Parts: sequence; C-alpha cells; structure tokens
Amino acid sequence: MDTEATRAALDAIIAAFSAGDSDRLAACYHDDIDWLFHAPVSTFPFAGARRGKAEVFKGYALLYTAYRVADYRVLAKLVDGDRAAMISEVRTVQRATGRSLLSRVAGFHRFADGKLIEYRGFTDSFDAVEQTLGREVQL
Amino acid sequence: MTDTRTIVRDLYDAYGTGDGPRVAQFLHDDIDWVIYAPVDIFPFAGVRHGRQAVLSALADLASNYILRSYRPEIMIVDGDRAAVMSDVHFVQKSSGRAMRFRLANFLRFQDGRVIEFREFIDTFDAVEQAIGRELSL
Repeated sequence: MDTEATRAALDAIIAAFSAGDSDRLAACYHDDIDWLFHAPVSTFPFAGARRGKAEVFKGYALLYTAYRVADYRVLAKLVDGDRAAMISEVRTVQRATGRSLLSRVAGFHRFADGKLIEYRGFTDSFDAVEQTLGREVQL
Repeated sequence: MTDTRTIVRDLYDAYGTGDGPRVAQFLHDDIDWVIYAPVDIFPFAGVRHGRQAVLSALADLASNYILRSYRPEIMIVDGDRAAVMSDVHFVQKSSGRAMRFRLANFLRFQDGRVIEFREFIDTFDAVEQAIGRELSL
C-alpha cells in the first residue's frame, strides 16, 4: 500500500474508534491480524498477543465491559508506505468504580489490502496498573 | 539538507554502537524529552528539558545499565517526525541481570537534530525485570 492509501485506512480506524462504532472498526481489520498490546494480562485481560480479528474483538469486548472510553485524542500521527504510528491520549472510566483513567498509547500499525494486519501497542503499563487499582503498587 | 530517514538511521546506529559523542551531536539544545516510566525505579526517566539535562539522564542510564544490543525493527518516517520500535537488551550492572524489552520512540527533528522525544515501554514488565521478581498486586 502506498502512503496515502495507508493514511486513509488509518483515518478510517481513528474515526470508527472515536465514534465507538465496533462494526465499522471491525471492517478496518484484516482477518489474519497479528495484534500485541504490551501490558500485563493479569490486570488487563484484553492485552497481550492476539491472532485473528475474532480474537482481537473478543479482547475489545473485555475492554468495553470493564471501561468506557470518555475521550480519545490523536497527539501524533505518522504514515510511511504500508506502516503508520500514532500517539494517542485516551481517557477511560472504570465502570466498577467510576474512576477516571488517563493514558498515552503508542501504536505501530501495518496495513495490507487496505486493512490493519499488524499492531503493536505500548503504554506506561505500571502507571496504568496503579490507576486501575486506585493505589500505588508496592515494590 | 540531510533527510530525516538518514538522520534517524545515523542516530540509532550511533546509540546502538555506544557512540555517546555522536549521539550528543543529534540532540537539539532545546530538546523536550519524556520517558514514560516510574522515576523511583528508573531515575533517568521522566521529563527533561535541554541537551545537558538529556545527556545527564543518558549518563545516569549508562552508569546503571550496559547496553548489549539495540536493534530497530520498525522505522516510520513522515516529514520531520519519526517513530522507531526497537528490540533492546541491557544488563543491570548491580545484579548482572539481563533485561530485554521492546521500546517505542517518537521523535521530531529541527535543523537536523532531535527537538522532541517520547519513549514508551511496557513499564510493568520493565520494573519486574529491574527488581528481579514479580510484582505483588
């Protein structure tokens, strides 16, 4: 894919995610997506490695069961050939407690046939765990 | 003027080969730098402003960890910005413990130098590797 096609595919994902439209989001994902979010699955069951669209969206279902996305902003967006990278700021509300969590997420994306086929996500997961627990982690 | 992709490759080659003076040449005097990680475990992390402050953080890192390998796996360049995902291997000097993780860097360049730097890492995993045990929640 060339850079402009990749940019359009990434923008479609951002728009679908921002709108909270799972069906539109799913249409942007390749059936064979290789997905990995670097965070402890003990605290974030939706994280870790997932293969295939069905598995990824099972993870998203877990995410949306536990959290509500209150705000989503793209802070940086880079596109280069079939790859893209983003920094986004996500504010979620933990449904069980009503606690508001704020995280910056770095994502690396690769596209094939107009769809997302590879994703690697990063966040300050130690900070995210502390926000989720509502207390400091004892070292 | 050298293009961003060439500068990024040169910068990561310099860092990967432990060439501190060459790395320093790539830092803008007014660099805005953040490593998103807990500073009580990683004192070189957090916010730094200016070249000297960043060099001091890098010196602090080097005094506690030996860089074994730094291998960029994904390099994305768009205008004056770059994003790099790397496979990194350090050894903790105090314990001899090997630490391995992936890093995500986002950089912006001005006048051929890094003026903005953001680093992301799975810090929960990095803390566990640094302290040599699982965290109790």
